[in-house]
Parts: sequence; C-alpha cells; structure tokens
Amino acid sequence: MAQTKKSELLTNPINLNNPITVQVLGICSALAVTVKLEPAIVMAISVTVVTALANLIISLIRNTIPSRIRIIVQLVVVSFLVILVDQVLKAFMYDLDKALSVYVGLIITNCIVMGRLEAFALGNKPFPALLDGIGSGAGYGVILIVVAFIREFFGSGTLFDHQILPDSIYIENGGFYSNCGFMLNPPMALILIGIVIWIQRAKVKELQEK
Amino acid sequence: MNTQSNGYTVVFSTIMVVVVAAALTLISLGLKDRQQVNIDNEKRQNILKSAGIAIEGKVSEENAQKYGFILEKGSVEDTYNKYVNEDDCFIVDTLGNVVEGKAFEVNTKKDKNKLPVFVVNKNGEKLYVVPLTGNGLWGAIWGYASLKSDFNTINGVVFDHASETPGLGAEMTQLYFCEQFEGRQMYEGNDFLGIKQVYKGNPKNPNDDQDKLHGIDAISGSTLTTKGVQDMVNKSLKAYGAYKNSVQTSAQPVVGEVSDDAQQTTLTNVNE
Repeated sequence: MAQTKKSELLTNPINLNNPITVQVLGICSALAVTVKLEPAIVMAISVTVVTALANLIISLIRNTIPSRIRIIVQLVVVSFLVILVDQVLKAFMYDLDKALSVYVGLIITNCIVMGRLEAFALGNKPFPALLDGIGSGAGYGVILIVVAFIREFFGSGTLFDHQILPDSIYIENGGFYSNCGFMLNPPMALILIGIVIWIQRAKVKELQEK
Repeated sequence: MNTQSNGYTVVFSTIMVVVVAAALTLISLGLKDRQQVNIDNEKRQNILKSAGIAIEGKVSEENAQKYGFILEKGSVEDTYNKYVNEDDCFIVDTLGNVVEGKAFEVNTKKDKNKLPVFVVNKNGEKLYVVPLTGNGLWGAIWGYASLKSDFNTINGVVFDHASETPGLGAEMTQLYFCEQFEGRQMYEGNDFLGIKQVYKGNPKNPNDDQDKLHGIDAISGSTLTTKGVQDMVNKSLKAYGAYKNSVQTSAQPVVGEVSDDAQQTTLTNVNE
C-alpha cells in the first residue's frame, strides 16, 4: 500500500468520508454528549480508542475468525474494549463517567465501530486498520467537538465550565445578552449537525450530488 | 486449517470467551479499590449536599447563593470529616431500636432492616441525614434527605438516578426540583402524610396548608418519575417512623449497647 494511501486512511474520515456528516452514523451519541465540551472530548477520545484498538485486534485475528460467527466475535472484542474504557473512567474520571453514563456503554452499538470492523478491518492488514480506526474516531470526534463548542459557548457562555463571556453583558447585570437555552436541548444539536453538513457540502465538490 | 468447520468454531469461541473473561476480571479487580474510593466520596458528597454543604466546583457559586449552599474548598474527605463525626452516626432498625454497626457501611439495597442515620453538624445545627431508595420510571432512583431534629421536617434533599429520561425524569437531580422539599413535613400529629405531587396549580399556594406542608410541584412530562420520587421519599422516611416515635415518647435510651454518645445527642436534640 502506498504512502499516500495510508495518510488518506487517517484524513479521509475527517472530511470526505466523515462518519457523522457523510455516512450519518453515530448521530445518537452526538446529540447526547455535546452539551459541554469536556464530555464531548472524552467521548471522542473513548470512541477513537475503541475503534482503533478494535480495528487492530480484529485485523490481527481476521484470518482465524470463522466467518459464520464473525459478527459475534466483533461484538465481543468491542464490548471488551468498551468495558475496559468504562472501568478506567470509573476509576480515574468518576464525574465524567457519570456524565457520559449510558453513552459509554452504547459505544458497543455505535454504528461507526461495527461499520469499520465489517467494512475495513476484516479485509486489511493490522497497520492500515489501526490508522482507519483512528481516522474514523477522529472524524467522529471533530464533529462532536465543533458542535459541543458552539452549544456550550452560546448555551452557557462557558468553555470547559469556565465563564468566557463577561458577566456585565448579561441582562441581569444591565447588559443586553442572555444565554440561548435552546442550545442545551438535543434538537439544537441536530440542527447544528445539519448546518455542519450543509457547510461541508457547499465547500466540498466531491460530496455534491449531481 | 479449515476455519469454517463446526469444531473449529466451537473451539475458537470457547478460547475467545475464556480469554476475554479472564482479562476483564483482572482489570476489574485491579481497579476496584480506586473505584470504591470514588463511590464512597460521592456518597459523602451527597450526604453533605442534602444538608446544604457542597464542594466548590460541584455547585456553581450562583446556585450556591440561590439555594443557600455552603461552599467548601477542601477535599471531599476532609470536608466530610469536618461536618460529620463518624461516631455520632448510628443505625436503627424498622422497630425503632438502635443497632450496632457503622452507618457508612450499611448497604441500604441489601439490608432492608438496617436504617443508617448520618449526623451532620452544620454550624451548630444538628441535621439527620437518611438515605432514600426507590424506583423511577426506567430504573433505580436514590438520594439522601436531611431532617431537622424533630425527624419530621425536611431540611434538604439530593436525588440521583440510574436511567431516567434526560431532560424529563432526569431533571429530578436539579436543584430547582430538590429545593421544593425544604420545609415539607412528613407527619401531622401521629399520622404519616408524607409528600404528595401536585399536578395543577401552585404547591407554594400560601393559603393551602396541605400543599404548603406536603405538596411538591411535579416535573412536567415526568409524572411517573415524580411519582417514583414521591413513593421513595415517603417509603424511606416512613421506615424511620418507629425510631421517631421512640425518641419522642421515651426519655430513656431505647435499647442498650448503643454508642451512648449518639443516643444522647439525639435525645437532647429532640427534647430541646
């Protein structure tokens, strides 16, 4: 495999083949964990770790997996990694684990993970599979972080829970500004993802349907 | 090797399951201690929070002011030890007797007949914090309620849940909902009335004594979760009824072999 191809494995999912905006996978968790930046980033990292390692492991054992039970094998590997991530978060980042609650568990059924295993890891060598996993996770993460940034900034006036907007501009203190409560609701995440898709399609010619 | 044969498939899946299970067990055992520390600290925080004391950063300054929280800077454990003396806390059973054991170590889910009471000294005021357990719409809900020394008036509550709907039932953890419980009373004379959710109108209606003492404004769209909260608070607090009666009717310690300190402080407080 040529060098360019390998770098494309990493970069393609971030733009041209983005799991969320192009493949429309993993929307559910993208709506749920993007109210604040911090959980979004942890979720992005968790998903990247799980996709990358799952891709690597499945690719390493791809020739030994009986094809009749391959989906089950994939599920076991993914579940193993997700439980691992969950346990580590519980031990070291307890508050975040609570904030992410069921969504960490739901990485198991995150379509991105299963999709990459089935479509890529089963038919490719370990190293490209690892890169593909990292790329897909990163593509998912980028959208999550963009959406979470907008939602936290306009919804709460904070970033990473630190107040960014000066207190004096708020209406309570005689200013003109008020936080947009709608930003904190899940529908706004869907609208924002829609806007991201819109901007991406407008800029990237390859994605435009004839 | 034929990777498609039945025998191979069986062997493959057996090995896979054993390897994964062994690995997960090791990880779980290795991280257990750290996780337990986190769980204990959360419990400590909840006990303090129900009494109106929070660790800085866990409750924003704005909310602390609005809902009257004392903000503490130190670690969870230090703060807990500052307000709670482990020897003051005690356990009662459903008959009202004080039983031996450490209040903090009681597993309220398993041991239904052991009811722990945590005593929080909040700037000279003694608050009695008791755990609440119940069922919401989708799964378990739990929390802590701090009671004034009459064991009747709620001083504050904190709730948590396993899997209530975000934006609806999950709102039960929010301060604006918990705040309503402040000042609600469980008993009227000797009758247990508990709290009651109000669907329509204003539970803060100053003309309606019933609502003022027992009414809780339900969360819109989460009738069943709110009902779960109502049942949880009523059931959990009712269990302490026998103990409440025993400390109110007798001036003598109810049963021997008690940490005398705990018994004494309770009694003096009730008699005050």
